[in-house]
Amino acid sequence: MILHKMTVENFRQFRGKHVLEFVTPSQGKANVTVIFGENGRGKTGLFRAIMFCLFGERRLSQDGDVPLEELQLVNISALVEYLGQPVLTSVELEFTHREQSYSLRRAIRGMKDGEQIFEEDYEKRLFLTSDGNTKPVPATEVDNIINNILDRRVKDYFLFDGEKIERLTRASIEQRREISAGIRNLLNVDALETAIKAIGRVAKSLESELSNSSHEELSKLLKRLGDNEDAQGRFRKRLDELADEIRLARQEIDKTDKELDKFNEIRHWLERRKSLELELRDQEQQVEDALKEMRNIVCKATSLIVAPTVIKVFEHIDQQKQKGEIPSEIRRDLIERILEEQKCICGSKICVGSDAYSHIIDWLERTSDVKTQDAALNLWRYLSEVRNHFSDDADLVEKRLQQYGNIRSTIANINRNLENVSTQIGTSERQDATKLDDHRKLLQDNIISLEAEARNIQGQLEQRVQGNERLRASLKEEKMKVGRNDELSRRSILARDTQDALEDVYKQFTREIKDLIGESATQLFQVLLDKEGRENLRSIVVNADYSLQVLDRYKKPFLANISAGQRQIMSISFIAALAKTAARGDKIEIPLFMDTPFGRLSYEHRQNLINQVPLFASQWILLATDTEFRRQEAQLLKRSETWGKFFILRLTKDGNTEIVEQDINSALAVLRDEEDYQ
Amino acid sequence: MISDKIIEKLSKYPDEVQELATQAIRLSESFSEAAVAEQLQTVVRRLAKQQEGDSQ
Amino acid sequence: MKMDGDIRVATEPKYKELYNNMKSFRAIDDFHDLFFLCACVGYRKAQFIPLQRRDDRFWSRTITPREWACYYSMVLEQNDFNYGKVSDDKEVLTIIESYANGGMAILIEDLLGDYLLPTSRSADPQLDPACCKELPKQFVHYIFEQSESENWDS
Repeated sequence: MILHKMTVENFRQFRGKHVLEFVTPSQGKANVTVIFGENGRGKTGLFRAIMFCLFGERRLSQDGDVPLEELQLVNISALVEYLGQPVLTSVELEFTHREQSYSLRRAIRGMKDGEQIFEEDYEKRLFLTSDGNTKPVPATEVDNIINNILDRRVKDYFLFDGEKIERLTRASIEQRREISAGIRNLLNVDALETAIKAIGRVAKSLESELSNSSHEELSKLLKRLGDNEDAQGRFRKRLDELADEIRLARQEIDKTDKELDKFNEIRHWLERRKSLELELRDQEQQVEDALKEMRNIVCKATSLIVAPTVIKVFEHIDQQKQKGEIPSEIRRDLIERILEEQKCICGSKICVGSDAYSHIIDWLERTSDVKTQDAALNLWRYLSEVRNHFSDDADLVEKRLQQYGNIRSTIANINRNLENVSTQIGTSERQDATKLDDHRKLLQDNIISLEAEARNIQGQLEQRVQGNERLRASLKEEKMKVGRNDELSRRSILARDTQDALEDVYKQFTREIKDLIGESATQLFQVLLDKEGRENLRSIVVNADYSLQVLDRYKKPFLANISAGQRQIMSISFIAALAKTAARGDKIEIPLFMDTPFGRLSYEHRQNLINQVPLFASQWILLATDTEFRRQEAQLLKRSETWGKFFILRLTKDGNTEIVEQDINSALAVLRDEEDYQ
Repeated sequence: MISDKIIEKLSKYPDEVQELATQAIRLSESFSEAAVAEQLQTVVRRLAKQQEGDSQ
Repeated sequence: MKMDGDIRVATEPKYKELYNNMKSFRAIDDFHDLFFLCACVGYRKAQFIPLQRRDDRFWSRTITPREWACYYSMVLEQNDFNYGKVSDDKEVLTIIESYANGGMAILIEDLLGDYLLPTSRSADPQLDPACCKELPKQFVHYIFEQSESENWDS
């Protein structure tokens, strides 16, 4: 899909008619459109317009649970001007897809009546041009055609915003849900999921019948399995509830921040607090990763406690080796034969009690049988390896402890700064600000305790799942014992086996797609990273639990140690891989919208992004603010020869936004320099 | 189609499992979970009887 | 010294909940990790306390070669390098179980006390989920303190 032109009329901040012509690949190498404006000018609004036009959707994933009434689309000034009369709001899109041209228009009508605003669907019209012929598409077929071009379930992958990127860098329930939902949408496995649930129902109902049967052991196992599965169900439900509560709490915090924002005098403190909180979340994530690393090294570290023993035993065996005792220079069975026959191998007699006899007894005592000698040699080899690593293990332990200490110290620092900032906000003369701030603190504390509860429940759930597998195995054995003559048991076994088979296939699929996404993300990661990153970081992996991990050049997990910028690159690579896989081709066929992606990126990272994204996206629409898109970035973009259009979103006198096209060559004049911020 | 790919992957399972799984998927393309579960009860009964017949 | 994987390794029944908690609250990865730590601490502090009652905890197949090597070393050192004492893996593990039993008592005394639910301290100890997040780091720190500062370079 290539966007050519968009016309918005009375849509959100855009009063009247506004046209945006995108640069298209057919116009040459250029495929990057920059839409530039301060926060709140309507950059995301333009993406929202496209989603509305294509799917009739008002809601974006970032809106969360915001009520539909607050997501109104009709321009407020127009509603006020035409109070009591309907106002038409429309979005028209001209695009091409696989050599066919489309012109889609969607409109709603709105009206302000007193304090209330009403909106209703008004028009949906699609024209298709093929081989020079243009014809209207029946209204009933419009949604189907659009869905075939771009599945509505994957649409959210094509808008990269800071929040999404932030969510993906945190190993939280939200991150895993987002990734899991993304992959499931990609696979389009609704029928398979329904089939698994349906056959599961059948299996459960058959087992319920069986549990009322006279087979005691079977009944016991079924009861235990039932209890276990009920417990899992409760845990999963609670996890979902917790994830929702956390999400709502975060949204409430955002809302509170917006309220606090109204108090101008504390604005810069609010921004400072926001930045500190982001930093704090980052550090807390590092704590999680560091604790995971600690768990991984406990075994290695523990052996240091008995290091003196290990060394002593190693040296003892080593000595025995050197003395020829292990392996014995003379076999034990030979010595035993000599003693029994009381005759040496040279033929001379050996009398009991003689010196020779004592020497031979001595040898016998020092030798052991072949099996023991082999085992001792094996042990010597293992101990040698363990011993050789002591120094490195001790260093690793010290390093990890130091690292942890540093992170904690940084967190303590950030918390002190946060307290200071909160005090500044709190001492504001506006009482409302203090109340809002207190409310905010409560929400933060609530989030912390909800996250702790979620971690706890996740652990218990994992234990239950493992227990379930063991119970199912025992149950199957029991059913088979009974099943030879019992039809109900046979049915039950068949239903469970089928459920297992379908779940297996589902796991295979998701595994294959995770590997595919991982490979694709890794390829992108490698081209987007800076030089240092490329040397140290090898690949991105989607784990079995849908969390993301970065592996270093030794293929060891390294996520805890990467910088904030590298995390951002990791997220962008992952989302782009998801988009690429959704597009099922080498180039992402859907326009990529990136909302302020440069946030915490170093110069080299920005450069790589600017050079590489136009290569794997057919169209790149960059939504940028003045702090993000400066002369530096503009120059990089110009040099890449991929930049085709530049639009500025300007505030009008009546508080609306207008779209003004600016010539690229004179763009530098309106952009700031790095020095302007110092 | 995704369903065809899934059915391909089921080929390593016993015949009755394959048949039941295939039926479950095909039905799920058009019906709700509850409706599919109800219809599958009959299929399971038939296949279990078939298993008994095969083993005798 | 075959590193037999078919042996059931046991602890006192009163530690069952603690082992489960440690794993589900992610203080450790697996039961054998905790057992190894207890065994090493118990051996180091010469706390040999045979089990009064056996409660199976895990299979010996989860024990890593590194851990086995350490267990054999401990038994050999204690028995004057008599290889006969390490020829039967079941016997080796029985000895190690006693060290682990002693070691667990020490760990509870030295480290875990603050992380247990108060009501459970005297009976069957249980972890307090509210405050055990940092345990992996506490373990590593404890180990660091317990291990001698040696010149590791051989």
